[in-house]
Amino acid sequence: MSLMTKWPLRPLIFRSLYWKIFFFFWLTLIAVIFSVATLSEIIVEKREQEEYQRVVKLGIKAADIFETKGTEELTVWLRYIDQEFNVKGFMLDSKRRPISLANLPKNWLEFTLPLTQNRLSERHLRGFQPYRISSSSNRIYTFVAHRDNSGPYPAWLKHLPILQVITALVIVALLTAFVTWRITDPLRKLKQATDSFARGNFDTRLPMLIGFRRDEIGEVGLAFNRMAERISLLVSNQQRLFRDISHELRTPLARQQIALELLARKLPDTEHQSLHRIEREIERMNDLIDQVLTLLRLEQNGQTPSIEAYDLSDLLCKLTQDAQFEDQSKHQVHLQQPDKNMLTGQPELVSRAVENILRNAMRYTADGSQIFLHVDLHKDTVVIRIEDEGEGVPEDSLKRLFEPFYRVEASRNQQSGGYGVGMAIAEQAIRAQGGTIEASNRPEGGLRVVITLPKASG
Amino acid sequence: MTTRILLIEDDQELNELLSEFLALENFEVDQAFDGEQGLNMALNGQYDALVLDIMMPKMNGLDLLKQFRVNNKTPVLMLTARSDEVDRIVGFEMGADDYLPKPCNPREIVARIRAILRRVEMDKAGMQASGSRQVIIREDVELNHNTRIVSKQGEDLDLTSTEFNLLASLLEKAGQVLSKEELTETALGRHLALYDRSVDMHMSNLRRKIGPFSSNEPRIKTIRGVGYQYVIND
Repeated sequence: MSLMTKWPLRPLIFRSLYWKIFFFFWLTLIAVIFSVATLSEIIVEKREQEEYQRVVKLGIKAADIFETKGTEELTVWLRYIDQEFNVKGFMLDSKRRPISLANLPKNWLEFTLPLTQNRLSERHLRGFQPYRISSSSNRIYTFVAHRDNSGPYPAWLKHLPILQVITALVIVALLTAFVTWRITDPLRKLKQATDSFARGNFDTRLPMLIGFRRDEIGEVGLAFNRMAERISLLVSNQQRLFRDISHELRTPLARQQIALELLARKLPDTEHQSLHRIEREIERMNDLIDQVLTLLRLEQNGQTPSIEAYDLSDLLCKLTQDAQFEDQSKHQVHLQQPDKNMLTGQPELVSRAVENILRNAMRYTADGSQIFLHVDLHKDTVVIRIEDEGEGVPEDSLKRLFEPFYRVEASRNQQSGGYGVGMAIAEQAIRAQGGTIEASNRPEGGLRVVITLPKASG
Repeated sequence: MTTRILLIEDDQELNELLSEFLALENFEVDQAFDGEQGLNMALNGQYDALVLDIMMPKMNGLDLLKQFRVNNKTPVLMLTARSDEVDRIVGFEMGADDYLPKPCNPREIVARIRAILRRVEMDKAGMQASGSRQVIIREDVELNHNTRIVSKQGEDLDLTSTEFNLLASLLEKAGQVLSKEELTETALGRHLALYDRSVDMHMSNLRRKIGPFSSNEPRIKTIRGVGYQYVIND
């Protein structure tokens, strides 16, 4: 309820473990891709250097052959290296005129233009690469080698085309999303189960889907189930003990009650006052046992709920009349509600809850003060407000008001009656129907209890 | 003439104490300590009233009541566990005439027994009353005080004696609103107590058994804060 607003909410994107893990993996994978790309770039670069050296060596040899043995031998050599070294090249002299016709492409004229200094920029002249060669006799030639398009490295690494990058990112994102989901989804389920358990559904267990995982998350699931098993056993044992004790106390009380009446017949009237006193105490114990048993029954909520349609207005009307009658009209109860208010649920439980709160209001406030009972209709809910003009409850006690046997210290005396179970019963009764109950102090003094009920509870 | 009561209660000591108390109140009490014994004694003896516990070994009070009611109209006061409303509702459906939460003051038990008996007397007196009151016919419903049989469209309805009394009161004053106090007094023979929903429970059983008019309008209407009314269907 109010616990949720303890911390100012940062945007979901930063709070959610899902997105944290998602971005972590995603960015990591992108970084990995880029570093791999850069690395291969370097490797390719080195290879290119070696290739350059190799081709230049062959070019120098070609220049030397031309100088020493003439054009024909050069042609033979050029054919030879095409076959043996897979280097298809032709020679241009210092004026960039072709020396041999061997391997001369149709566009050879382009290579007669002056070469720029940057070797890398010349690289892609339609698959040809010119190399500047100086022969052993220090004359300058140009050796143009045809480059095979299927190089030693994939082309996309050189170009890093946008489309491929996007595709890669999307694929990586999908993978990351899946991995992240595999981690956070069980955590989400674990949270749901824990919440449900905390709400008092002690039979909540994690589905075996998580339990079957053999990793750490699966272990957590199994551990949760073991813990749930243990706690629910403890709780049910405690409840059973509580119930058994209550039942067992009741039998001797019943006998005592009759024995007391028998005694009353035999004793003179002068003794009857003491007997009445005992009788009243028996009655009190009976009431207390009743309340405890009722509370236990509601907490177990294993009973088949009998859902029926009922008129809340009618119920509250009767209830207020009865309560006022019992109270001998020491308080004035103002009932403000719609004429007719059909709900679906368990009227018995609603009646019990409101009755307990109303009685408490009467018990803990001064005679002659007023009690207000308002009913407001909302879209799917009905809100019942019960307000009194008493002293209210210390702020730190408000939350504990619905704990069994909890009583605000100042009121812990027998005179005001009550056993501190009434409010706990009210809470359980309302919760059993999917409603909520909250207590607060009114600014103008007095306690306000707000019951919110769904119009139709299943 | 002494009144004979069968007390069916499995708690030996409680049974003894209660018998002693009832005896002091001039009842002649027979004791049964489990369901089977109780049913046998109830069927074979001539009792004026039964006081019946629900939780019992061998056969519980509800089963006993069901079998006993097959052809027996002896009034039954049921003792239910205090906080168990389900038992109470089922008990009424099975045909208990009144219930008391247990444990309770034995004086209250005596008062309830007297109330039931008084009512039975009243019914007997009613039977001997003059002719005009003996049979009430309203539309398709016929109520016969002599035979204590109610029929709808010629078919007999299986009503408990409390339900019969409620219907009789309502039919006699059809169209008028009867308060819960009035109905409690005429049908249960006692005063309305605080948070007393007995009449409401009997009434809901009666409604279910008698059904609505052919127009699907309910025959018995709840008038909020006042009581109940048998609707005149024109």
